[in-house]
Amino acid sequence: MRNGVLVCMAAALLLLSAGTVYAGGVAGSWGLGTFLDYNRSIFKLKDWYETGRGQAGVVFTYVMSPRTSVEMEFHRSIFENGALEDTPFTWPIDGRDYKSPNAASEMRISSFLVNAVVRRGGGGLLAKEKYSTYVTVGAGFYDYKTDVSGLIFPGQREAPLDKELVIEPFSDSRTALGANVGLGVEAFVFDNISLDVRARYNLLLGELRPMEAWGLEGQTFPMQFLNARGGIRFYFKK
Amino acid sequence: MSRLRFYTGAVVVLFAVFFAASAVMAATTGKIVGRVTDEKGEPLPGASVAIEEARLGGTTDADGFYVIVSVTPGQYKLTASMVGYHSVVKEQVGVRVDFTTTVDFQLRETELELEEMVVVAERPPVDPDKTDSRYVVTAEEIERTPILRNVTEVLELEPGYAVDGSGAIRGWVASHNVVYVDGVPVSGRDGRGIGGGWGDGGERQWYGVNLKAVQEVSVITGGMNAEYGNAQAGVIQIVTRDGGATYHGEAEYRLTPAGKKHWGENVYEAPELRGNAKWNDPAWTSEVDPETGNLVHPRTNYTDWRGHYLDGFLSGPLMGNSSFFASARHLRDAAVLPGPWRTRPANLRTTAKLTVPAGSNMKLRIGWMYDFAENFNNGRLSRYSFPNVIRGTGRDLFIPDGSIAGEEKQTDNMIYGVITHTISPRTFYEVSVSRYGSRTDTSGVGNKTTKVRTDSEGYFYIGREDVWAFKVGEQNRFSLKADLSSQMTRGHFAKTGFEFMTFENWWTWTGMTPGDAKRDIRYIGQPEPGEAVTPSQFGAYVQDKMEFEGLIVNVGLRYDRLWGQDVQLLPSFTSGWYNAMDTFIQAPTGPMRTIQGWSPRLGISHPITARSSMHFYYGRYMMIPSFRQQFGSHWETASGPDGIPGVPWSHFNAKDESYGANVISPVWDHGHPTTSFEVGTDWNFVSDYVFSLAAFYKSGHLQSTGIWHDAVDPVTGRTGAIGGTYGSERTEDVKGFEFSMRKGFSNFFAFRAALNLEWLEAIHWLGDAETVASVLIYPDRSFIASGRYHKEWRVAGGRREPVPLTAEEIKTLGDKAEENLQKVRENVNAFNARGSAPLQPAWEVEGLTDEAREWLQGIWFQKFWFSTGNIFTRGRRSQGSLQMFFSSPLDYGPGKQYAGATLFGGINANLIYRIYTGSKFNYIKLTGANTPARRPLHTEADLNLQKHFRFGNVNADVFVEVFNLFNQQDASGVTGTDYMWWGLQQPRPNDATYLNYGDVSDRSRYIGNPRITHMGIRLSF
Repeated sequence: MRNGVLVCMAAALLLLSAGTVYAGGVAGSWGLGTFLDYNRSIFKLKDWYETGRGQAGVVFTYVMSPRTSVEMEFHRSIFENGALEDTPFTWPIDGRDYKSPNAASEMRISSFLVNAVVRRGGGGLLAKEKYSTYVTVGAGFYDYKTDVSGLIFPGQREAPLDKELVIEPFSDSRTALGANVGLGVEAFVFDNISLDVRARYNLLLGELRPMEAWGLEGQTFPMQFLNARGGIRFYFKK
Repeated sequence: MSRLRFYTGAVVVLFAVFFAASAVMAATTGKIVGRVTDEKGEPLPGASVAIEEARLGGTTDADGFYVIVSVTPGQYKLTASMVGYHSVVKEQVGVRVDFTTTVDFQLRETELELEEMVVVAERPPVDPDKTDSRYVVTAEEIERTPILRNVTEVLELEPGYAVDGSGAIRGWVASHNVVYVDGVPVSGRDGRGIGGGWGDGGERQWYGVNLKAVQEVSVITGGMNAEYGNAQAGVIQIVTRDGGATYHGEAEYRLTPAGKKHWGENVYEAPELRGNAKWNDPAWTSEVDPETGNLVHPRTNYTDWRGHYLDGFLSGPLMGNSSFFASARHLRDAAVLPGPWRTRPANLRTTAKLTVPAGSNMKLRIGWMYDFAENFNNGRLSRYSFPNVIRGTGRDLFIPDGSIAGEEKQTDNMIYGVITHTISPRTFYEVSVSRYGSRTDTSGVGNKTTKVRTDSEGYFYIGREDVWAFKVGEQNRFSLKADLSSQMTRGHFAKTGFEFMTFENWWTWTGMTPGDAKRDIRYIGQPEPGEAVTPSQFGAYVQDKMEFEGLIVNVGLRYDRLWGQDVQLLPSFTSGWYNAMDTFIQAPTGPMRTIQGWSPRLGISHPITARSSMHFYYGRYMMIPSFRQQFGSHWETASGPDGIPGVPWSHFNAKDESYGANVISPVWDHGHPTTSFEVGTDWNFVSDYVFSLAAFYKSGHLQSTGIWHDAVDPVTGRTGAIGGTYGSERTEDVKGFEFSMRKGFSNFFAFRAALNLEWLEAIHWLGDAETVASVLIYPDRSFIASGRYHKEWRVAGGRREPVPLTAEEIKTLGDKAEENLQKVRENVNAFNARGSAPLQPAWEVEGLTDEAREWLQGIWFQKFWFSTGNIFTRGRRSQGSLQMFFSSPLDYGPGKQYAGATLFGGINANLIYRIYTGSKFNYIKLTGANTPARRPLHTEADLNLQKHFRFGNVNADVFVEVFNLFNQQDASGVTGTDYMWWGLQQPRPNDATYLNYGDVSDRSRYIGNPRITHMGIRLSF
């Protein structure tokens, strides 16, 4: 059912956008698109979560000139299988390593960003079988929430270790300011439909707490990850 | 050189000579310069350029150059005219304090049939003459951020100024700032400990200007030129609004609806009550206090309390050309928790100003700031007075409303007058006189601290009869200052001035535990509590702003001095031997060592392109230590009543710290010297977007901090840590980057973003003889025999007097004193792990008076220091803010205008976002060495939405405000190994209290409030 709705929406967009763009000035055109991401954490965030996958994302584009566009995008990502799920801790009482069998750790990020897109040259926009490369710079809010549960409490003082005594589930969540910068290519399969591929570096002014018993020393701040994106976009003339 | 210019220059030089240089004046004006040419670009000598609103003007010289000095900040209409040419008017010419606004004109001959040409001037986004890191917020920008209601809230959004409410600038504590209102200093190092605490950096900084009265506020986070002194952190300048030619007024009311305003459970259900609250037990809920007849366990519906806020101003013309501006603010905000008050007690903050043009070239401004606030006293010993409830175990939840420790009234009152006289188109002077008085008093204080009563189960406190704890004091400051500014030549804008201040301050903060078991007194006063200290302060500066083809060189020199107060010669020494306060007070005093210093400054600015510039700065600052550090004392008893019946404050033997400009504290006379470097750039990279970056390094060497003075008594041996004083043993370095990006208001939209990355490090007790950690003081045989050493006292006439030593005692104790000294000479001391200096005779310390030198004969001292510094870090590594403003025109969108605006017209949205990393704490690692660690980061967003209406001449704005929009918890209080090791902010899962009662700190662990919504209306005409 849900897929059917999405297909219908895509078809409607396709119909709506058909023939609405002509070869004249592109300034003032606007577009709607959707995309999928692949995320890869870097620096300290990598110690918590290695990779993440994108969920549905949508982007609205406004073409200001043949070289510049402004985008507003909403995007959800999920980072699953955090390192805490598999990382043992060393219990100082007996010196042995223990894993928490029921540990779970994941992080979700919903971002609302405003991006500036500056194209190289200025051609290739809204023209069938043309493409343009671009630089994108953006900023906005990244609402993140990491959920951790099932960790055996390593602060126990009496042997044997009670593996049922777990730390209360906790979250680090925040609506954080963030920014991104990246490169991309947008290729038009029709005058008004393009495929967009880009790679970006993302920086969030948010942090995750220290968990030194599991090797996560100090806070993770800022949070940084790379993402690769593939998407489709439908343009409409003003 | 014309004769006038010669005399002007001579006067400036004379000012410099007589007043030793240019320094303490804070500028309140900017200037406008430019060229007037004809259509061919040829200069037009003799053209006049005038600002009608300000009644100021200038005439062009042979090169067509003109200058208008002494222009108060604001936006003006500038008219250039000349016979035979059409006048040209430039509107919206913005002037900022200390900056040069360049406005060029091109006039056309009247042969051409043209009307007067009106042009809107655009201020360049980058000021090419900026040699510092200065961030200016104008009245227009303040109006666009109605969610901000205090000057400090405006400042917190500027780069470098702490967003966490601490008031720090680039990591340096708030009390190291200096604040000027209309060029008059309103804060200084004479602030007492109250309000901010007793510790260094906690001195009170009052500058109670209503935000609605502000024409311009700016903060200089680095690169202060020589006119700004006595500030290591930064300078805040506030210029207040003048009244205009027409009447204007505004009134604002804001309602805070009822609701829970704290984290965690309703306090009556809070886990910290731990089963002691028995709301289902009728006997418990109906228990009556037999003394008062009141319920012992009343339950107040405190979440029903509403808050109110009133603010407004009125301005307009008076007789002649004079005008007035008056504003007032009153708060009735609701208490967050049950406590002594439900809505804030009486308070009023007013700002008033009268502007009187006295002739065509002179203006007189008289300003008045008055701030009154009543509160319930928590005295020195808040733990004995229960001013708040539900701390810790919650046993004080049922303390009755009101306070048993009396009511405290705080009044700040400042009146000032400023005369600005423009003596030629290029020269003006300004003279100001101000008097600031602050008074703290406590009424309704009991004469003893009685034991607290409890309920029948002995758990909850239900009050006590009396609490003896109070604060009382006065702070008076008189200042006279003058400065002279002159555009001596086109390339030299010289300025010089001086400032003289006198003080009369005393302050006492004291309390007593139940049964008089323990007394504590902290005071500023010499020689005893209640007697004012009356030092004098002087500052002077000279500076020249040189302009060479775009290159700006701002060079200056400043001199500061504080003197004129008698202090205890050896406060801790005498507190050790005179171990009761009354005898300590009788110990010899002498003139303080004068604190003085020179501060050279150099700032250079150069344009890179037409839209960018960079600056470099080097400066030395000298800041006078706080009055608390110089004249404060702290005495505390260990137990028991007065040591000698009838003698107040005797037997203080637990803590006797006496601070001050004594003779042994090393190099105390230099104040706090700091060296500052910075390099910065401003870049208008597109449209009206400006990016700024400054890289800074500031090193404060010989900062004051506490050191111990231990007297080695021949009777008792080394007495232990008996005395503390302040000396210059600490260094403090901060380095970092300051970023900002801002966009002026255009296309319905404006924003400002600020980010600081800082590394602040402080080191106590460097390993050298200049920066000691401790001092041991020894008498020799001659001192024992001198009659100045005592070991016993007797009561005579209600006071203690020393018992003279017998001949036998003189011999025995003299031998013992020499033995102690011999051990030192043989390098046998108690601090083998530390470095030490040779014994030094106290009477040979430089700067002593003959009287002091004579009294110190026979006293020796030895300095000690750690072989390695005790390094610690503090402050935050990163902090930043973002403010965005959207405003739609009144006719925006479809539809007709009703009440002055369309449906989507006149809508303003204001979003403010703050972020700061946690402050530092010392993390005791489970394995390995201790290390500094950070508490959790915090972010917070506030939103204001308002809709504008217009009814005739009356404007109305209806608004809704949401604070902490995303409901983020500030976990800044979280600390410790549990957090670092296991990420625990909450209790351990096997904690017995937690398992029995829940998270008892859920309410108090997180700082600040959850999401709170306000609504209100603002009317103006």
